[in-house]
Amino acid sequence: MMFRRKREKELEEELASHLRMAAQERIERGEDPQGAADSSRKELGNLGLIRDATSQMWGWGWAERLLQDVRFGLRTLRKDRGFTVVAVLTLALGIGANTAIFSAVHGILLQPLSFPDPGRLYGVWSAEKQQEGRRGISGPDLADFHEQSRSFDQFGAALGYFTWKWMAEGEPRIVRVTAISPEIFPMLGARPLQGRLFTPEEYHIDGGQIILSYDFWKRELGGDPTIVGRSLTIQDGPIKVVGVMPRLPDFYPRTDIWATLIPDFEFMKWRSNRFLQGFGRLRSGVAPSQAEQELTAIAHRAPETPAGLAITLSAMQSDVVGRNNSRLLAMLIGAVGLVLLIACVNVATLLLARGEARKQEIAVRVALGAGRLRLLQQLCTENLTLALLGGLAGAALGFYLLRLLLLVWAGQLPRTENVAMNFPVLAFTAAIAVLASLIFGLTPSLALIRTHFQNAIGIGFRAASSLNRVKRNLLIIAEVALSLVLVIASGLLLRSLWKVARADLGFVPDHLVAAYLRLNNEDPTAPAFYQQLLAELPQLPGVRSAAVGDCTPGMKSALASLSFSDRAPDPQNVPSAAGCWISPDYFRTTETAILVGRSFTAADNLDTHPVVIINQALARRYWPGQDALGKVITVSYFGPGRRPTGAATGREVVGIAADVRRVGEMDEPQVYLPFTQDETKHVLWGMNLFVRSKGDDAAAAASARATVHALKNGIPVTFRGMEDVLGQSLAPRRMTVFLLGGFAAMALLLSAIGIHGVVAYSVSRRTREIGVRIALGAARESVTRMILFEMLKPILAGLLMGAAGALACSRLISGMLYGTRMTEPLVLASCGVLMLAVGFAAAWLPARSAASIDPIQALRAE
Amino acid sequence: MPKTERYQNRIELLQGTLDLLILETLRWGAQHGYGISQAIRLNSGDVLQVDTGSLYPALHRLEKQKWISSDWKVSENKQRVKIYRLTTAGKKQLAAERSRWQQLLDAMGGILEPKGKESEA
Repeated sequence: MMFRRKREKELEEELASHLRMAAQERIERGEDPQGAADSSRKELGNLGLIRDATSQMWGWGWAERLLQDVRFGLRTLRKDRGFTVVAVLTLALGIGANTAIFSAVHGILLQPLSFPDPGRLYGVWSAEKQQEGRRGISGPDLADFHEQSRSFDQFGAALGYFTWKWMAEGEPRIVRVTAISPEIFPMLGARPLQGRLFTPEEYHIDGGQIILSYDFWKRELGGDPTIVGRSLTIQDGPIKVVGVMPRLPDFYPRTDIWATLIPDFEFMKWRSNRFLQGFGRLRSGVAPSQAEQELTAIAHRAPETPAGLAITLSAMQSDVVGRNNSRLLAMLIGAVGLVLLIACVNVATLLLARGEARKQEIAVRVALGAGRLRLLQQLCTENLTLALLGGLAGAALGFYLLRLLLLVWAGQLPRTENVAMNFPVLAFTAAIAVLASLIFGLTPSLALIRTHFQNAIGIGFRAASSLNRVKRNLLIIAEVALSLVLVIASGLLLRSLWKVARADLGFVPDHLVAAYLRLNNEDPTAPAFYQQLLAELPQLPGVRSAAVGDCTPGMKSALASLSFSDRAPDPQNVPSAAGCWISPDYFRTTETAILVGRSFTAADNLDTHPVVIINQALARRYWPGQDALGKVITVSYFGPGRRPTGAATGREVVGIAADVRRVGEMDEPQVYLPFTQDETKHVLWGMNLFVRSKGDDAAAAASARATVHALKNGIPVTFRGMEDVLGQSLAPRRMTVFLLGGFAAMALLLSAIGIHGVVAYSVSRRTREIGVRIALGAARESVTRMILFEMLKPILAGLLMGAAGALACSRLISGMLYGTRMTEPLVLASCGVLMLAVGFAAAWLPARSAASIDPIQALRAE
Repeated sequence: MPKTERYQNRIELLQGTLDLLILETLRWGAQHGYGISQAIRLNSGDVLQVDTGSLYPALHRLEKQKWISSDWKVSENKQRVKIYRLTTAGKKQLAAERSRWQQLLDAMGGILEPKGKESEA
């Protein structure tokens, strides 16, 4: 602008010198000075126009026009305050919702991981053909891949989130530990904040050293700067702290303590114990599929690798976010997109109605010589101004909405610390504001210009009004269809939540409390301790029964591979089931029914016949219609820290238990093994203790805790109600329903406002017609009915299209449903009825006011 | 052309020719705006009178297109004047416009010659 002012001054000077020279010449020709100046000034012409025409050549004309248009737009918007407030608020709602959700998408999904060159980081998994899900890799796999693969710059593995016992100032606590192989931290470009990383030798001795995570160091040790070199009492002795890592929010963020992954352990040497999470930094130029092929080939060099096994890679970023979370975010983006579309339809409606009032203004301006294109440009600028105001308000609203979202999401979504209203988010907000201005503004603006020209050549109001009836119906159809998609989606999710919450879990969670007991590894007194504990607990006054198990009913548990004595093993298709080591009273304590056969007893131990109890789902899948009792199953039950139990033992099925469902999952096969028949005793290191109380859960928990401590000091015992635990596992579902339901409510509200606006507009356009009807004796109720009836067709059409739209979106949502089909009639019907009711309610108000039109007034007005 | 017409329209009408005239005038040396208009008037024997409202927009446009450049000089009677001169690109443009003009003249001539005779007869 400074630049421009200088140019203007120069142009002024240039023109002045032109005048001077012209006058000079006239004087030289003999004219008197005054006359010469006047006539050369006259000869020059209109100085202002010359200035304008010249300055347009500088290429700034468009900017000036734009500024002028914006100023004009703001002035008209200020004049029409009611319209502006409604339009800006509507847009703010749509844009705000989009801004909030996009900042989440940006922070969680799009922002690259906080490591150098994160695009080359991959998680390494193994998958067996025809078997659902994927597993990690085994210790020998890790060694082979590390040595033989040429596809990676670094290759390592981690064992995430196992537990240790930590003596914190006399009070035992459970800490979350992640063990890593030497390559992991260099691969992530992570350097210790204090101290050092593990040395290569430290990967061969057990429990010598640990590194603290930043959060643990700050939270539990107050950021003690002298911690490196000192020891913490962990498990059964002191362990030296060699370093403190900085925050690693994208790599096992809830880790308290980093430990070494030690390949010398027995359980690390077993090829089929695939419990490690592999990680690799792909060499640049190597495609993931090439690496997959190479690793699969390496894995098959080992004869024990099952023929159907394949190694797969997945981008570390997508593993960190998780499939369900990306699905959730994609669904939410879709939802807020619909809300924005509805908001745009509403504003378009408002603009169409307002265009009616502006026809005169436009007519005057055309009469004054405004070009059609210039007028359109000006209207578009006006719409853009409106959209940007909406965007501004939307950004503010989005800021608060985002804070609400983060509150709801706390602890449930990864990477939320990356979520912020930063520059890319605001750029997105501006972009959707501009896009919105095109969506809501172009049609009304074109209509406004066109209508004028029709009027100008004498096609009257009525022709235009029949055209508008079509448009009005289209608007209603759009409002209804768009909202219905959201209403149906949230209806289906709500139904799923209801079904999940009401699902028969196969056990009784109320008055059941559970605590995780962590003993020292290979504690020789463990068997005696459990025996004593389980004998004493039922004697307590408030306790009905007690049991231990290494799984939690209703939660995910470790997988076991099965083979059956009555059929040949199929290496391509190894059967698997969830496995659980339990004490005899487990079923009685969790109140899970034994349908056939018997429960375990104290007599099932290492000296007796190996036995197993299976659930109904397993019996149904492998022995449909047959008696499964007495069949023999070999269970290869493994996991972190487990090792093979020598020769595979066939276990006889002695009982069939009712299915216990994981929250929100369908029935899956499960095997139960007596914990006294684990010859490795490994299962005794960590067990869940279940106590069934007689009514007072807190008292039962307290006395049970005292009993545990009386038998063995220094074990952390924190009881939680199973209802609580299950409720928490419902939280993600509840959160999804809450969010989507919120957006659906927003959509309903907006479309109600929109339908109200459309109907009110069309009533106002038909004042005369309605006046005539009433003057001719139409009953007022019949006028209301007529208007409502006219709405019926577009609303029904909208319902149909909305239902079709919801089905079209099924891919986004079907993965989140539980026991609910996309076409669930109950949901579809109730959503349709709800939408119909909202549509009619919105149309009813203006329809009623139509009936109160005064015919004399109406006829006089035109 | 009536005086009441808007200047913008006149620019559009004259554009091609006016550019050629300005560039050709500047071929003979740097010149200020007034000088250019006088040169065109004199060289056309007072037939072509360049309108100031067209001249300055044209000069500024040509400058923006980098066909001419400008700087301020102090004239013999000690006054600051803006002098325009032809750039290398301007020389090329002039050659191109000249040849186009020639083509147009030839074409027009081909059409007008026989007709002109007829109407005179």
